[in-house]
Amino acid sequence: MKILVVDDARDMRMVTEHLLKKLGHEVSTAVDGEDAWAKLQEAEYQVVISDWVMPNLDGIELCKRVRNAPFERYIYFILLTGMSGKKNFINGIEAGADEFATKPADIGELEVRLRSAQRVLELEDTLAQKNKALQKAHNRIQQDLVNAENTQLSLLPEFLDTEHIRSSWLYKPAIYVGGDTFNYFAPSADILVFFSIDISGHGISSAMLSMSLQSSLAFKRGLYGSPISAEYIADMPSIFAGNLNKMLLGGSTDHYLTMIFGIIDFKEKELHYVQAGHPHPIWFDKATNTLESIPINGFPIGLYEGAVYETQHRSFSHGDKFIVYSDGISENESALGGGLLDMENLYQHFAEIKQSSAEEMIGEISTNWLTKEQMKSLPDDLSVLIFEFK
Amino acid sequence: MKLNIVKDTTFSMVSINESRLDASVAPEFKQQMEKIIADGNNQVILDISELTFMDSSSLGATVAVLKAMGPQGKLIVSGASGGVLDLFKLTRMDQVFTLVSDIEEAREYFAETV
Repeated sequence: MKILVVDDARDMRMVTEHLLKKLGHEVSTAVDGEDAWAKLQEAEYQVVISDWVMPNLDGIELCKRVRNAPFERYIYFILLTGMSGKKNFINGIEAGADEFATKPADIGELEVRLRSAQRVLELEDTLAQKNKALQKAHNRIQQDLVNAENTQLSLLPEFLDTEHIRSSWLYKPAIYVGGDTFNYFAPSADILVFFSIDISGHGISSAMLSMSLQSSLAFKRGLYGSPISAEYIADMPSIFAGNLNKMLLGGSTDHYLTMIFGIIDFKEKELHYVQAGHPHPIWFDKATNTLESIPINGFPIGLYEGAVYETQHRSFSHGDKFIVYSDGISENESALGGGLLDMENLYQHFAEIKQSSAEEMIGEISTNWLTKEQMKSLPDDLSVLIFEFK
Repeated sequence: MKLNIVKDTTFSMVSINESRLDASVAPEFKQQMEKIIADGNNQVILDISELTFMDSSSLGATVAVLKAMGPQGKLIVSGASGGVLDLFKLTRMDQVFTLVSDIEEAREYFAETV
């Protein structure tokens, strides 16, 4: 091993150096703690054998310094001492010494001490290698998750701006990928189908289910019960919810979901939707300039066999807005005050910006209600979807 | 996750001595409850009065516990308040579970029906 011998007494240095060389080690020497510290910066040593009392920097202080420094590999520290007594011993341990050896050095003792040093250093090496491997795996998973987040984001729909409607949304998962999702599609020119979903739990397994539903619900036409056309859509949301409930309960997943699923009829200017355990949606009525939190409750999907669903109906006119969101927002303290962004406080926050456009509202939420720091480490997935009727 | 169980003559009372029941403890909660049920406690008052927060995962776990009670079992959920009670209502689980406001009311429930 490569050993640094630190002693202010020249004869002691020479004796120790001689013994260590005899044992087959590579030895350098330093005349005090400061000298040793300088030498430790220049080359890599595995073991330091240091005298206790020295001028400039003593053995205890040198040891403390070594322990606090970010050396790449562990340095085994042996304090040489002529001193005895419990207090000295404790001081040495507290400074981070691994071993003590009596002065003057004795070859038999040194050999034994160095053998245990060898053992500890090997253990440290193995540990360091394992940590390195773990770090590598961790980085790979991290990178995978970043890629997955991008994939998930790329599946979300573009903002709408048609002759009938405008939409805007905010989506931010708690840990890269999330169990929240939403989508909308137009089966014909006068109809828009949409859903906002929150899979219970968060993380990878929730995200996988959420992605699968997000991309497949538009095509699982069996769930809709009949063609998505004007004559059927008024009851369709509850039928859809009932069928999805059966599908999820019949599957092998432990997850369930909350949802608002709706169909917008632009010709009749009517919105049909079902509330399945999702937070109360918010409605802005432009004509009366009022904001309403719609206090409608409903069974989640995939939680309970006996669930019954009801379709809600609402007429809309120019400038009205419909806001749906997952419960993730309510676990955050608002940067604007009032505590958590849950029921009453959340309503108040929306009331302040009720006349803003959908897009401005989304901007307000992501930049003013929540700080950058909050957005970076959300306790739960966050999604807000806003429709603005033209 | 700490559950406290006290056995009475006609029922067992399980208290959740936590303020949060969320995804990080939901599996453990479910597991401990299933063990309690498997040990023969199928007349249970679940005291959740100390809970101030419950998320969707833990609601799912609580429904699983209800299902594990079996047809002969009875589960009374006691002391839901604030956001926890709101969650039961929002998801209509207040219609699926028997909710009572405190232990006294829960006791009466067993006295009347057992």
